[in-house]
Parts: sequence; structure tokens; C-alpha cells
Amino acid sequence: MLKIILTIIHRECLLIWRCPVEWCTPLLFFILVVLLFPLTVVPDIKTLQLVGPGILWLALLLATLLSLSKLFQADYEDGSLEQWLLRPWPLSAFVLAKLIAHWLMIFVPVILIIPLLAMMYHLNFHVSLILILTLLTGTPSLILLGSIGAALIVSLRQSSLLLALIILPLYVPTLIFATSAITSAVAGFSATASIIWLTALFSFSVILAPWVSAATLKIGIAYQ
Amino acid sequence: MSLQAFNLECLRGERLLWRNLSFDLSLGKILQITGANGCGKSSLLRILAGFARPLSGSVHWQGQVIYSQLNHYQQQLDYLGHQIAIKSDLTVKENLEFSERTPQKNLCQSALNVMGLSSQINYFAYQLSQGQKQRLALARLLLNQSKLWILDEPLSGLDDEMIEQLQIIFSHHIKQGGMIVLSTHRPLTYPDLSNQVSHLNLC
Repeated sequence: MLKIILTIIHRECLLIWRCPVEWCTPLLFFILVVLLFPLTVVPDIKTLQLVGPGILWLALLLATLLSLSKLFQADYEDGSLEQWLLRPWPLSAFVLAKLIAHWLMIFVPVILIIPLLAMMYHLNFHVSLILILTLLTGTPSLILLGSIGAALIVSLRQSSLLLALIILPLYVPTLIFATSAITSAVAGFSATASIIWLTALFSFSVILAPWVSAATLKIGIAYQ
Repeated sequence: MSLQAFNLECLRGERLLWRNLSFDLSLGKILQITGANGCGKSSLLRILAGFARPLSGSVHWQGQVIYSQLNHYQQQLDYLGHQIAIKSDLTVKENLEFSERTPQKNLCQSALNVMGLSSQINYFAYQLSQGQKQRLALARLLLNQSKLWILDEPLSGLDDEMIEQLQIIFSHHIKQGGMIVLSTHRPLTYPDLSNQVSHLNLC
């Protein structure tokens, strides 16, 4: 099973890499929002430190929405999903592998670039470290929970707004724990509790989301 | 081993496509489904592949309803629909390798040789014509050695030479104990197939 998952990850990474618009768009959108925001407020260090974590995470949520809207669309439209159903391994394994590839290609670049962007908001090394920790534990939950919404809208056209309406409420706990971890770090308190909650959310999502997404995709295929 | 359908009924929206549709297909046979556009050929093939369910009736494989053993059943079939599941940004070789259920050495190469695509092995799929993409999709059938092939318009986009070649492949498959359900507007003309083909007209 592990070999199969690795093969699918390889395939999905190749597909994303060879279509730069897929990985560039969310990354550039995220960078632009984070870069432009300080221009709209008083360039005061304390203000930036206060709003920085929220802006970084909100920009990340919106970038995630951009990347998720077509997560299963191409596979649905070109018949690949039907072919996956004929394989001797469960569709949820395919979903999980696809999400891992998506995380590697979309979120890892974001995490790599975060220390630079954090400097714009005057976040010190310790806070930047906590920020990276929240991204490492929080972004997998975003993509896992988002896959459920992406699977729900797979057979609908022009459904990006619907996707936002479905999955943004699911993102609320992740957003709260991630920003509270960073705010605690900025204020000099421990961020451990929030990080543990983020990890718990991730564990919950990784068990539930691939299975739910796969079941939803099967319904989408049946009504094609 | 047989594929049986009993009293199938199918709706598309509120339109009844067909009802009381039954047939029995045994090993070494081909079922050719014909009919005008929109009469439900693709819907029937999707039901037979287990992707969709009929409004009423049932499909049986080896005497058992397919829905009680769907995963096991689907692993024994290959399906080629209107959407042929070819990724434009992958090469011919990559498209085929990622389609294998159990990777086997040299099988991809021999499948491409049979389908006349060996010289395009490193081409990206977007560099292929529609007919070549169809041949690449058909090459998948040769990889997995499934008993049952369910093919929706497999001859579309192919030149006469490849249609002849494909019928030879069909003949070889049923001689090996396979079975094929296909929809097509063109008759199968290969002499070896003439006694093995039964027809089902949906309109």
C-alpha cells in the first residue's frame, strides 16, 4: 500500500509541477496579500505584530480556497476518478496520496517563505518558529477538511463560492488555535496548548477526511 | 463465469431510457450495444461497470449481485468511457505506467507496440492527436489482463488500420476466455468475431 501511495504522490507532484499555474497562483496570491496589507495600515511595529498572525493565516485560508477549487475537478472530468475505482486499493488511499502531494507542492513553498514574510510584521525568531509550527500542524488540516468540500462540489460547475461557504466554517477551529498560538508567543506566553489542539485537529482530519471525501466522490461519479 | 442483467430500468432526469432490459453474457462472447445517440448506451455501460445504479433490476457477476461484491467485481474489469483518463501533462509512458494495477516489466512497451505508439513513448499526451490518445487509452486494456472489458465507443477516432488491429485484439481477448461489452455505431467486421457477437439494440 505504501508503494502505491508513493507512486500516486509522485504522479500528482509531476502533474502539479508541470502545470505551474496550479502551484504559482496560490503562492503568489498569498505573498501579495501579505505584502500589501502593511501598506494599508499605520506602519507601527506594535500594530503589525498584533495583526500580523491573523493576516498571515487569513491569507493562507484564501490561498487554500484557490488551490482547492480544482482539486478533484480534472480527475472527474477526464475520467480518472472512474479508473481509480477499478484499482485494487481503496479510493481513500488515492485521496490521501493526492492531498499529500498537494500539501507538498502548495504549502511547503509557503512554509519556506514564511520567515521572510514574518520579518515584514516584525515577528521575532521565537514567534516565527511558533508560526512555522502552526503552519506545519495546521495546514494539513486545512487541506484535509477542504478536500471534503472539493469532493462535494466536484460534479457542479461554477462552484468556487459554494466551496468557500462549505469549508470556511470548518476552518474556524484551526484558525482560532493557530492565531492564538502565535498571539500567545507574541505576548510571551506558552503556545503549547494551542499547538497540541492543532495536532489533535490534524489527527482527527487525517482519519476522517480521506474516507469522507472518497465516499462523496463515489456519489459524484454515480450522478455523472 | 457470466455477466447477467435482469429487468434493468434507467431514468435520465425524468426521461425513461429503457426498462425490462435483460441479457446474459458468457465467457468468450462479445455484447455489442447499438442505438441512436441519447438512447442510454453509455448509461447502461456505467451501470454494468458499477459506477451508477439502475432505477430497478440488477446486474450479476458469477451469479452474485455486483453491489454485494463491488470492489472485487470492479477489479476484474477494465472500463473505457467517453472520458479516456489521459493526462495531457504526462508522457505516453507515464500515462501507461501509472495505469498499471500491478507493475510488470516490459508490459507497457509491448502494449504500446501493439497500439502503434512505441515511437511516441516519450511524447507528452498533449502532443498526440485524438486518435492517438484513444489508442493510448486502449493500450491500458492490454496491461491489466482483466476478464471483462466494458468499452464505450472504442472505435471512435481510430483509422481503418487500427480498427482492424483492435478487432484482432478483441478476438484474442475472447479466445483467452475474456468477455467484452461495447457500444459502437460501426459493425465489427473481423471474421473471427462473427459467431461470438450478440447484439442489443436500445432504440
